[in-house]
Amino acid sequence: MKSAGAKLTPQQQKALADAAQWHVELTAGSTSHKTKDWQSWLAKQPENHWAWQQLEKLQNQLKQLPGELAFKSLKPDTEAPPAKARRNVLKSLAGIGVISSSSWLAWQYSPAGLMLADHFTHTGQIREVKLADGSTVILNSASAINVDFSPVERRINLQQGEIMISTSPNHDIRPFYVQTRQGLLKPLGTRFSVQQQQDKTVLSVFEHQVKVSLPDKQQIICPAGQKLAFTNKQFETLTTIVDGEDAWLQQKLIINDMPLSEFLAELARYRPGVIRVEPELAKYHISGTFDLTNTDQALIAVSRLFPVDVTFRSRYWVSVHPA
Amino acid sequence: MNAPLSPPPTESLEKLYQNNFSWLQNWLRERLSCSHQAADLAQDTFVRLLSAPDFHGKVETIREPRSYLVTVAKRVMIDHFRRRTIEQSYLQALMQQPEQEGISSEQSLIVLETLYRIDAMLDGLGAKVKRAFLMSQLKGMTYREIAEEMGMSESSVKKYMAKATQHCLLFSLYEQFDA
Repeated sequence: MKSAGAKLTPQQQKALADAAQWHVELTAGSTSHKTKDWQSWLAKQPENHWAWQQLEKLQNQLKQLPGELAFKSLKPDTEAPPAKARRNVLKSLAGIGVISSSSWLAWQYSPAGLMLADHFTHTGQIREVKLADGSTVILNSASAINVDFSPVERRINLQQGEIMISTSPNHDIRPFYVQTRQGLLKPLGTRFSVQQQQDKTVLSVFEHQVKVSLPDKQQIICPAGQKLAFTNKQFETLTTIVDGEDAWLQQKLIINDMPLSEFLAELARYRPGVIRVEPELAKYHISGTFDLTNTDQALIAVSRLFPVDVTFRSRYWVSVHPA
Repeated sequence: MNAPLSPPPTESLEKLYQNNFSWLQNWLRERLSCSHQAADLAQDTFVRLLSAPDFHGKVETIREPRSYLVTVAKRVMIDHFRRRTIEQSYLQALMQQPEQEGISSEQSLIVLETLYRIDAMLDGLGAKVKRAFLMSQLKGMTYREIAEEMGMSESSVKKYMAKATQHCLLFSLYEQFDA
């Protein structure tokens, strides 16, 4: 806007501000008195006339739009505060795949968030990244991280998805941190995984320990073999890691007695598109090992194991319902 | 972030293009998994560089051309996705329309182009200002109705409207100067 300002004379700028003000006044309701004042403003100097012409051009453009439709398309009702305009774009983008009906399982997937990150995976991909200090990060399906190594610290920002980190055995004196939306993790050892869910972080420690700090300075140490979920306000209770929790590294899903609906939500992370699930499917429980590189097969298995139908409406839209 | 390895600093735009265009295209392709789109956006990135005010004076001073290109390419990607978001909400809204109000695909293209423009025009205004402006201009609501819906005074709505209108006027002129 600055460069436009620079090319406009002060009179033109004033005229534009006045024109905007007059437009508002006349829209609010015109009296003959007001109209007269407006006309004399218009005739006062050529800049005013010019400014009003600009306004009419703008009005004509807006009038050509099908109003209701245009309003819905621009979604002004859902806009977040303006302070972080760029972030807003990303936030609204994150919403694309998520349909508000409760039974849609689309993994939190934000294409722009992914693509702007330093390292990322597409849905269904797993990738290993070697960091400059010798640590490795393995990214699970649809995950993204930013890596920020400075002379004083090593920091990984988990943007979305899940990562498994093995910190370097080399002696690097810079502290190592993993930042999620809810808290800051400081590994005091070597191997752990972190998953960014919508409103919480889930940490699983496989070796040694990880210290977690929340924004309000609450701290806890999660020891090896334990799993900790936390929001930005509180820690949930520690639970024991069950076998198979890191099976995704081998592109497998190993589960034991999991509600079917939960299982399908898990599968949805590795599939592009959505899986529609009827809520009553939670009453069935499933166990077994499934191949994450072929989720179609897992879905077919479900239809054989339980009295449910799996309908492939398209490659990206699968619906699971009681038979 | 890890700075991508760049060839030596660039002396001219031509060199910048020659040395980095296919690299940038690959960088984008890896992210978009669509080579057509990657080619388009790589092209858009250079177009944006060229149209940046005072770019020609700056080209010789770019020390890390690839980091620089990535920064611009990210902005191009954000705009691209922003357009796609609008397109998707438009299509969704269109599907909810009664059939007799059908809109031809040609008309849709024009509407979408205008929507992208308005979205860009209103970017940078506060959410409330933007909402008030669109309720008035697109839904034809009166200031009193807007005030009620947004839970504020009518005089605040008028202030928002004046601010938004002035902003849009300046934006349109800025575009003309730019072209």
